[in-house]
Amino acid sequence: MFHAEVRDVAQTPLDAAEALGFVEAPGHGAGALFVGAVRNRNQGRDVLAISYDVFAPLAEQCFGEICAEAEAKWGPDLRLFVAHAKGRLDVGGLSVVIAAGSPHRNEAFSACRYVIEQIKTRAPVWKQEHYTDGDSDWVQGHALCQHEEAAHG
Amino acid sequence: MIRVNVKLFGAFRAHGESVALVVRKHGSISDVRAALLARLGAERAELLSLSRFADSHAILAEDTPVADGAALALLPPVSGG
Repeated sequence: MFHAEVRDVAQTPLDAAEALGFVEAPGHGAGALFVGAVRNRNQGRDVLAISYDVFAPLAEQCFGEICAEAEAKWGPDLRLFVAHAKGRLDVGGLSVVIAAGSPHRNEAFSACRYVIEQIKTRAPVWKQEHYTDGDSDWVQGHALCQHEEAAHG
Repeated sequence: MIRVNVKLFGAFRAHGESVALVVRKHGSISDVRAALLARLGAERAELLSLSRFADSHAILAEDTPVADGAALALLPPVSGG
């Protein structure tokens, strides 16, 4: 069971408590949480904010596929919550929230780590950093490869 | 000839929200790629070569046929998280 979402953070910010609440269950003794946030420095430049550009329909499908892969690896008892920001966030703003709930901690930790690592290389999301000197630049990322096409095309 | 629309993301946003292109009938994604390169110019050739085309459901292979009115997306290297 999972929840996968691209959220317009100009309307509603991401919420770690919401994510953990979703993955709770009476049979779950473990909940793992990953929170990504905008930091104030990258590649030697002072960052004010980041704008997240997202191809939302494909991103939500991608999140769902990643969650299904995690369920296949760590069992059907797993509950997952994935939400990624769309829009501009200042330093400290939450860009991504992932929670995993399971009966035992190993599955929760492993699934949470798996989901964020897969999102970073597969999800159609792009960061534009805004710097204190007034400049802005798109972050160089991971080229989508044949693996994605073979697995999802 | 057929018309397709390509939504732009990331660094390609500098060229607008989307680009309307005309490609040959019974063309494929590779024809869309060539038409987009001609539109955006050689200075975008490297980034375009690292980018993939998709629809709302999947990344598309280069030999995927495109239909008249197709709504596509151009996905440059990703940087989410």
